[in-house]
Amino acid sequence: MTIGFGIVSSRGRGIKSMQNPFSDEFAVVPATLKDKDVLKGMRRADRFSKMTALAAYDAVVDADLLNSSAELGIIVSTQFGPHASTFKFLDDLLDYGDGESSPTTFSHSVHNAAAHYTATTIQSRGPSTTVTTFNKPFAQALDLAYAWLNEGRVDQVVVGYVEERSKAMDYIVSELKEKHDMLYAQEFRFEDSSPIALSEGAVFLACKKEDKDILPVIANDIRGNVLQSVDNLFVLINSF
Amino acid sequence: MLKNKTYITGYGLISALGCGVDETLSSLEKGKRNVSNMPKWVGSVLDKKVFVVDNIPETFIQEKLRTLSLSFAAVDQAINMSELSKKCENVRIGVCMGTTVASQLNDVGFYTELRDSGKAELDAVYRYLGANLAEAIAEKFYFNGPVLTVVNACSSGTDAIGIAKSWIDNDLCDIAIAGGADELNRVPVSGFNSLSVYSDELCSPFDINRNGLNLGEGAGVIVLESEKVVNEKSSKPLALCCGYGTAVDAYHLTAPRPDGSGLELAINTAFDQAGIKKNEIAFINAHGTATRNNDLVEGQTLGRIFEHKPFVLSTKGYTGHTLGAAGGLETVFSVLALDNGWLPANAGLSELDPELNINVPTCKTSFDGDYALSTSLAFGGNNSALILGKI
Repeated sequence: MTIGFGIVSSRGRGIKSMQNPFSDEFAVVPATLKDKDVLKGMRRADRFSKMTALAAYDAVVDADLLNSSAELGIIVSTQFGPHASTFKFLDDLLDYGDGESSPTTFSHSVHNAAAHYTATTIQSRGPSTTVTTFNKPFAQALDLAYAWLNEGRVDQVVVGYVEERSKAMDYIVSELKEKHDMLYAQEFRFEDSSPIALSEGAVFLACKKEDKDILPVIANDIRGNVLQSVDNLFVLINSF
Repeated sequence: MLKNKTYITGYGLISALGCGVDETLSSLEKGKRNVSNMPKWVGSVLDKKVFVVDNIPETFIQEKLRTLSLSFAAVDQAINMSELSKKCENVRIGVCMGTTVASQLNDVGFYTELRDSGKAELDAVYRYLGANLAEAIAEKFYFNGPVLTVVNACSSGTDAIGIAKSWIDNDLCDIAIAGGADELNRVPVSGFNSLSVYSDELCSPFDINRNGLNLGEGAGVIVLESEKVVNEKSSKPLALCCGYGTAVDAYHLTAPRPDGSGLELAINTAFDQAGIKKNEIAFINAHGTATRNNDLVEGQTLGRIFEHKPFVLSTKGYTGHTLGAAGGLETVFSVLALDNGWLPANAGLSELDPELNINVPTCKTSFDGDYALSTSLAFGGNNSALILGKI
């Protein structure tokens, strides 16, 4: 078993951080995203990309794959993508007009910007893809990782899930909480905390070809946590 | 790598060229470039040329969900052509679709209301949550296999087809609906303008004077089936999906790696899976956006690695750059060309860029050969390639 694990969450960074309490606002605190060595070249990157790159990097290091990552596959899954950058771009449109928007913000509002930064961080030139569904995106990503390993497209892959918060998403979630009974989602949290809070972070697994058969098992375990449609708003990192 | 045969048994498309195979072929044969000025419904004040779908069949229109409407129109054509209804018993049918716009919660009205008053009606949010392309298609057509929407910017459609092929090759499903769709939208219009790559004129891929892209919209979808299903269900294969490769540049968020090595690796991977030689390629439907950077890197790379000089064309002069739909549409264009034996002119080309050593058709051109390559390059440094074969 050589699977490596990386996580960035409101509890901090790394597997040991899972013993920490949540941050006050269930948000990834800025200190967690400060790593000049790993994030060099990401000065202009948004939080979504930084969380992704850090968690993926840690997983690759944990699996001892960093020195053999030239053709490592990257699979990033998400439900909502880098929506904070999308809203920031809309701010540009509304404040300055259609002809004066920021090219930097636009390019970071694209879902696969985080995968790009992950590739540059771990120096991979292999296949990379970003996928999104509202229903079990991480389980679907694990299935794809299995397929890539099984067909010999890659010998190693880092696969993960990332979500971020934004003011607009906080508002959406607060409204949905009022309109829907969300109590049953609590069972998917690591600890009994109430009320259910929107959180953010990134979690990645890195594995080699010989680990491939474990991926469908993990995927099926995630599928076992049945939640549907809009309720998945609440199934964020801290719910794994 | 696994070298299973994966068959294309149906396809559908909608773009500025028309809705369906007949309208599309007719427009391509005549060299029609159905360009428009910016429609009011886009909400953009920018005076740009765009390629718009005029008539989405009413039966597929989903209110305020244009990308999904385009998708439904293309999927319906594809599954009818493949006669899917006759063979869906005891098979797992997956859906893999590429997009950019439909994946973003970018409703300007909702966000403006929220910004201005601190609260907003959630109608746009509910629409968004019900419109993940692959999920919505699977739900509408009762498909029961894996479901993924690919969001790799401009290579999304090509990657969606490649992933669907992987699903079938690895027995995750038996049949897959795959392709891409995107609508014309204010956000990418403004975004590409901000990057200074949006031309004020009609785009001219591979031309010496090219100065940028025009955006468009559409959807292109294929039905993929495993060899086992084709045999057991007596399907009529229309083409082969022979190989898929993808690789990243790890270089720059919005610019391709100048040496084209990422694209070359993607192409070589596709050939490895297809098990054919490069000199068997009859033509390449290139990404060809008409930006200075893309066409230079892509054209030089294709010129370098294909010594036998197959035809290289871009169809974006007819459709505009349809973003997540591009790979889906261009796969269908390639299959149509293999089936009909001719290529349309590379629209907009007056004088080939002398830095590009490629063979670009300037008029309707017949060709011999059984294989085509379709390439896509994207933000994030994604490079992807599909090899398609004639039956």
